[in-house]
Amino acid sequence: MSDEIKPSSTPPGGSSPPEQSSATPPAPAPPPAAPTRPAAPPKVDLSAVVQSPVLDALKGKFSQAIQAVSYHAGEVTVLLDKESLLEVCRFLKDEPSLRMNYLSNLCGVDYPDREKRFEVVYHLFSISHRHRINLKIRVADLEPAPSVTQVWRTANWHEREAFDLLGIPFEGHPDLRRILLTDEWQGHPLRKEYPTKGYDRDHLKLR
Amino acid sequence: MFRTEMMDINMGPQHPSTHGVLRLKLVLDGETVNDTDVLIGYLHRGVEKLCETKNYHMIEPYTDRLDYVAAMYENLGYVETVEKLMGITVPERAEYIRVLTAELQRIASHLVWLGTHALDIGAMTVFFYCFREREIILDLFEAFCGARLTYNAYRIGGLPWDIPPGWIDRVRHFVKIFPGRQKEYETLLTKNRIWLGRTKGVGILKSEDAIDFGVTGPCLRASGVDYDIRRAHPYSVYDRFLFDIPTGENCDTYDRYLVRMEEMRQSLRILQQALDHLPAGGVMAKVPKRIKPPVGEVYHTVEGPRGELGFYIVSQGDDKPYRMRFRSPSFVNLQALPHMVKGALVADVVAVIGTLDIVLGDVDR
Amino acid sequence: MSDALIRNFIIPLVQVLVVLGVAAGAVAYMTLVERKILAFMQLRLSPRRVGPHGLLQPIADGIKLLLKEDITPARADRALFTLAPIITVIPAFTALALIPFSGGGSFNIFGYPVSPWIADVNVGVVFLLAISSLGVYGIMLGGWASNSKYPLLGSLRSAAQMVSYEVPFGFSIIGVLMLSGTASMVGIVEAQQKAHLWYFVPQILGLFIFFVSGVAETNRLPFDLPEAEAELVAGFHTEYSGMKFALYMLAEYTSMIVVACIVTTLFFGGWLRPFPSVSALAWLNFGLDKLNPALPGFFWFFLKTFLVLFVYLWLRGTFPRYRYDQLMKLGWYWMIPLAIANVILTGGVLLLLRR
Repeated sequence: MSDEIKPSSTPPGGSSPPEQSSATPPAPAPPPAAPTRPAAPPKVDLSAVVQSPVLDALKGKFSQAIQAVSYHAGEVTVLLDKESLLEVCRFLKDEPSLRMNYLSNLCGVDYPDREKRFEVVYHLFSISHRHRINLKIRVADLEPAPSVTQVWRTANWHEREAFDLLGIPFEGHPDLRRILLTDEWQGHPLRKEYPTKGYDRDHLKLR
Repeated sequence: MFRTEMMDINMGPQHPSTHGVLRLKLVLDGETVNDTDVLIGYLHRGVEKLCETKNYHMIEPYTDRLDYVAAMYENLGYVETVEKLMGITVPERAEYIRVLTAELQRIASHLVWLGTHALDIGAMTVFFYCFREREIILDLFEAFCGARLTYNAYRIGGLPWDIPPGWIDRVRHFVKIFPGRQKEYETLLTKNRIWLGRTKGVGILKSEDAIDFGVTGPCLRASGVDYDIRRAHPYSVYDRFLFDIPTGENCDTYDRYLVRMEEMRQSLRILQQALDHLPAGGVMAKVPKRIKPPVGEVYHTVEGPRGELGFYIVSQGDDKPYRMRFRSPSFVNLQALPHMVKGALVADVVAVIGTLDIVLGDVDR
Repeated sequence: MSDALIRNFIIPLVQVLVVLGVAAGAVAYMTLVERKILAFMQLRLSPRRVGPHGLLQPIADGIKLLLKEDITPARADRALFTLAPIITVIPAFTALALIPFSGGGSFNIFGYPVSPWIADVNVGVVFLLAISSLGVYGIMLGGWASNSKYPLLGSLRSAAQMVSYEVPFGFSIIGVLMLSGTASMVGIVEAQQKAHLWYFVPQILGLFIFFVSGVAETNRLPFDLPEAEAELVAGFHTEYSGMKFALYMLAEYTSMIVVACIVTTLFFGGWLRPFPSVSALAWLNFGLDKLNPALPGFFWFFLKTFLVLFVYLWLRGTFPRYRYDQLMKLGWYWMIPLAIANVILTGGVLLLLRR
């Protein structure tokens, strides 16, 4: 079990789609989402703790902001306080020994069963030092997440997309509108309760 | 009395040189671009949502449909991400064949870019020359996996089949003839005064801006940043090959042209080395029929022809990903467009769209 | 019918009809030739389905264009929208009246002498310049009357481009006029015959400027900015369809042919065969001159014109498109000074030679 974030949160198996376990009769039926290994045993320990100078620097300066740290396949993911995110990002970008100047990816993940349902994930790289680190914050529905567009301009469209598809509002974003869907679209498709085939199929009239 | 006003002009979604269904709202002062609003989403198919309902094997064909000009890379990035998520080690021969097909795909994709970019700027003939060579590559792909555009060529844990007999010789033949063909394009363009005039100093993207906008791939390297994921965070067996990373100095469209031309040559070098050292053996690791990665999440990137192709998968231990996110280079690179065309002429907008090398299937997902 | 009526009215009318017919046919087949040559350069197939080797393709295209719905945009200025293509096409064809297609004699038809040109005006070159600059009005009006943004941009580009290149276009001819001492098209060819020298030799600079400006005047690549497909969709004729669109195309190709004809006449000795004064090369006329002294002239004239047209297509197959500001810079910074230098140089050399 690699996800050692926040022991108080619901076990991840509980929030998974409920229909999947019944579709597996031939398997030796391990309990769903149990931390057993899959049939082909991986040769590497996926959740091994790895050293990260970025994490060390963060621990030194923002130890109170770090809520949890998790490791998977050599990646370090840090769960942060929402309030200190901007400060941490500025520090990571400007600190000369880190220079995490490249925000590779920003996206939201929806966990509807949690109290704070959305996770916003930031994948940071340093082009000069080749460091990498993943940051995470958690926000509740309709609770604004701080926008990092002032730190990295590339966050602009990523945040617009997260707003569009998940409905996470970003505070301080210069131009928060829908980006992929039309302006009059109802709902946010990547939320788990949004049906894959879409709403109001019944109302569609074929001409 | 005279009164001047800005003219709003809609470029696209139906426009010959927006490479699909990109729509730009340009605010023009005469022919000078004052402001640009990029409107995308005309090709949004909700692939990320669809992936949450499919098991891991079924997702791979969907990745083909994202960047349909370089589908091999979408396949590669996806299977590698799942392999990383599960900790699968892929047989060496499979890795080498993946490198072979991927680098061929890079050349094919750059050829499409060169052809359309030149066509946008008015040099029509280059387009046909490029497609002649791309045809050879597509034939190779067809022999390898049966498809010419949407390959579904890899499997999680390796390859579905080994390369067909005679394939290696055909690739060797391609590697031999391609440098001569590339000279033909360069004869038409590299020192052509009109081409120089249309591309030099156009769409300048300084290195700090490029990094800030998250621009990756040839566009970033043309801005003078030596960053190639094949070198910075080596995946597959890329750490075993000798190749140079071309970078530009002037950060303009012409440098991006030169960088991509040089990248094709470097791809040939990698191809040559991969052909020479292709190991024997199987091509598929032992992988369970039902892919059920352990709980966890990974973000894996590969260096696609357009830039950094990222895949973020959150697994809850099911046979379906809990969250699947495609970090597509076209989407991110396109963000820099308004910055690059500010104060330029309408004709430069076309050149910049071409030089960013976007694929709308990749932008809109 | 009185003799004067036939001489002054019927014969010119027949000449005009013949030239119009031949020109229209030439334009139609020019499109096919263009596609064939471009296809050859670009390693692809050209039209091959309609008729043998696609020879009936232009006719099929013509029928298609005639039968297409003729759309007038709702917010367009109807009258001007219809008038504009006509304004463009008339000057293009009018210019053909002055081209001497052959020379050295006239045909005897029903006892009346018929010259191989429609009109030999003593200010022929000046008239040509005047007429050819009228075509821009049709393009400007068409772009403006469409009441749409891309055509407007295209027509503005066109206006600026044509006005700029009109100047070197005119200046580059002056060298030829100085050498020949006449402005009549027929006179210029005859002067070249007398001088035993085609004017492209002393006027190589003039030829270059004239040809480049001619390409710019006719909106062909690399100067096809008014209809730059990749930028302005189709430029000034974006909103046009059916026959009106066909008229614009007709005008463009006719102007191309006219410019090629003028280049042939002014710089390559018009209807003259290579080395016209060397009698040892008389076999080049294939005995046609024994039938009529004007006959071989047609062959040579059309051959030379075709070669010039081929260069047009070659340019299209090779070059990218200029940008608007670069085009202007080329016109004003290079073409006009060069053209003026050419005039001064020619005049100076002539002065020295005559002294």
